[in-house]
Amino acid sequence: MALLPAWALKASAAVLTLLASAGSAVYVDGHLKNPSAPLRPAVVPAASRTFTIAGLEFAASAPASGGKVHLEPSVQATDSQQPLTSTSVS
Amino acid sequence: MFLESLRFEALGTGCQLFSVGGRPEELAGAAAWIGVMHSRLTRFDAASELSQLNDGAGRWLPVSAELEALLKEALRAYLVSGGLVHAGVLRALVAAGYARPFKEGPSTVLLGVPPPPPLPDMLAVGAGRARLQEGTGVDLGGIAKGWLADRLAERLGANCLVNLGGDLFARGGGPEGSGWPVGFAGKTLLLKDLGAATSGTRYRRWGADLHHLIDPRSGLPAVSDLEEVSVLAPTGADAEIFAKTALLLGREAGDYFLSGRSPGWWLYP
Repeated sequence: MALLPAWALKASAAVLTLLASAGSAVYVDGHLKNPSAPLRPAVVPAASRTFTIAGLEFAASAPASGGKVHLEPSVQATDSQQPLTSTSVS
Repeated sequence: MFLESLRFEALGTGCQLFSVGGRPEELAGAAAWIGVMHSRLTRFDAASELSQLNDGAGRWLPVSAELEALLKEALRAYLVSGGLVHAGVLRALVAAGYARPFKEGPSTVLLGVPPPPPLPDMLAVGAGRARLQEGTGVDLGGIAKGWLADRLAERLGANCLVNLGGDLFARGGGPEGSGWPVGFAGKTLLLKDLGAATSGTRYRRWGADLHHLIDPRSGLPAVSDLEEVSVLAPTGADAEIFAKTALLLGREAGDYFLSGRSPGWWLYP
């Protein structure tokens, strides 16, 4: 059995590496997060001005998409807990 | 530990109490105390302690320990805010059409009352007594909720959250120890020994230029390039003062004012 020359082995390894990289890139591009996917949990529409809990009416905060938010590093935010309550206009 | 909670209405708004390990009767007692404070501090009841003080302007009158403390807090708020958080805007509020509870609709609008004098000139507070300058009056609606939230949190123990109409104080680590999860500017923050408050002009509004937030510099409903401001602060009282001050200052100066005073804020134009 004839041995493959060293240059052929190196070229094969390079081609395999390039194919793997190109394949990964194609897969990632094809599986971007769908921006129109429904949010979980559902978000209250921003247009809602008030909400009611146990018969009491609370003012809803203005839509948070605008304005300027500044938080010092000492303030911890979380995505894993639902708020028990909110600060709001009254 | 079990999380106990209670929702009720007082101070003209919705209120919420939360306590880790607290007993239902403790929360009920706290809510009852807020009810007592409301009856003392409302300007819409001629028999309230605050109305008696306003009606007796020009002479020294005895005041309860709570009203004395709150009047001193009003003087502190005036100083902290550079005169912008001014409890002495009662006449201007009434002139703007806010002479009765908001739910009952606006009263007659008679704009044009002069701006109030500096609060330290119109209000003197001594031990168990207070005196208002003749022809003036105070409204504590702009500072009472944050201050009361702080007082109530002291009563409710080491791990509680008091929210009085959006002005709140979170004491201790909350249900999971990492802080109380509180909605703030569309995010959920974990607040631990921090107050939060929101001030705005789009709620309690009854006309294009008529709302409840009076600018003491003009004696008129405030004109600002901000519609709503939410602020974090070491206490609920400070959060309420800072939020109103920033809203009255506007976007640029409000941002500057809050830098170094607050660990977090939201300015909504």
